[in-house]
Amino acid sequence: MISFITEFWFSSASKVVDWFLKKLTMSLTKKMKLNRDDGGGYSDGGGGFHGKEDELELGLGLGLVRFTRGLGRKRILISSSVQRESLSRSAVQIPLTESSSPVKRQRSRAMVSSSSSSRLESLPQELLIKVIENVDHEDLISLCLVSKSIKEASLIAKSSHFAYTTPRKTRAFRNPLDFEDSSYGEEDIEPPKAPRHYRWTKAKRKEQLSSISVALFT
Amino acid sequence: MASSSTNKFVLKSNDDVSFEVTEAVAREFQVIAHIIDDDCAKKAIPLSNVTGEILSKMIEYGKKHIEEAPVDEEDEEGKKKLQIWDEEFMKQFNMEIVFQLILASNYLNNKGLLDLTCCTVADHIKDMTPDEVRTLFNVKNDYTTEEEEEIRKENSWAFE
Repeated sequence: MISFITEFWFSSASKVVDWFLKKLTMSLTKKMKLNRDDGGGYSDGGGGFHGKEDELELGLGLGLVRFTRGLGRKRILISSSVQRESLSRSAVQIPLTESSSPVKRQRSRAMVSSSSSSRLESLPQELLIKVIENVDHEDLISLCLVSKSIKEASLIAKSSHFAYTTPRKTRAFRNPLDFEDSSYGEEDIEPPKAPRHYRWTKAKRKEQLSSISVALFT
Repeated sequence: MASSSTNKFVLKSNDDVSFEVTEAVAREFQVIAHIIDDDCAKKAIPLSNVTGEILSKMIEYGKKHIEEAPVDEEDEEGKKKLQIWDEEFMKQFNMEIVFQLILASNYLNNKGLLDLTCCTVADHIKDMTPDEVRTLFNVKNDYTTEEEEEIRKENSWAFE
């Protein structure tokens, strides 16, 4: 039903357009004929030639219009679809030619190399971060220097995990032989002659505060 | 739970190896626990991301942790025993398998095993120079020398 109405509308519209075009071309050809006659009056060869050219052009234009008349609304569709076709063809062709050889090959090559070469880097980032969270603070710097993806993960681990943990006491010497007998790590080794930390106990603090308050209000 | 030990579930790896496990062991893996809770475990549970080899190791781990689970929080001896067993358990694997275990335990959502495997890899990384890490895990160095120098400079104060 709707299609019928639109068909009708389009056909009537095209008729109106046709009629208009006919009128226009009629008047144009008339003018041209006049022109040609005029041209013939003034300069015989050149003017005639010009007129013929014009007629040719017009004829071409008319031909196009006539061609579209029969097809009605499809005129728009054809012209646009032709354009679209050419557009789409070019749009398709460009990526086709691009992706056909070099890009695909590169991608597949990268995939293969990453999956076969490094297990550590092929881990998803969240897992890589989880792994890195288990190392010590001082290992972060060397991890940062390993590769870009690992640096990224270790920086995330640094901000999410290491920023909230206390670093282990770092050894003065990295040589484990020096510390072989003194099992360093969990046990705190108090430095010799270290000053004693004086800790406030609750009772003492209260005492102090009360004395202050008394001093203020008397 | 008396009933849980009688219920059996079948886990099927991606290379068609089936394992029959008790409910307690199956529940060690949270994903499978959810499947059981949702009553979708009538048939064999297909685990498309896990190979039979890895799955058998994971079940071994799960079984051990069910059997030898510390009685309560205070059971230090039991915990220590389990820890030693964990260490021995991880020693038998090469890196390739450890990585597969990480992925699988992440997939099946077993926190204990995931932590254990991550720790194992981290232990390998500890106290290593970047070059050693690269050779151990076969990582390509994608830094230029200038970039590398820059990171060294950037971080020298932070990690001293």
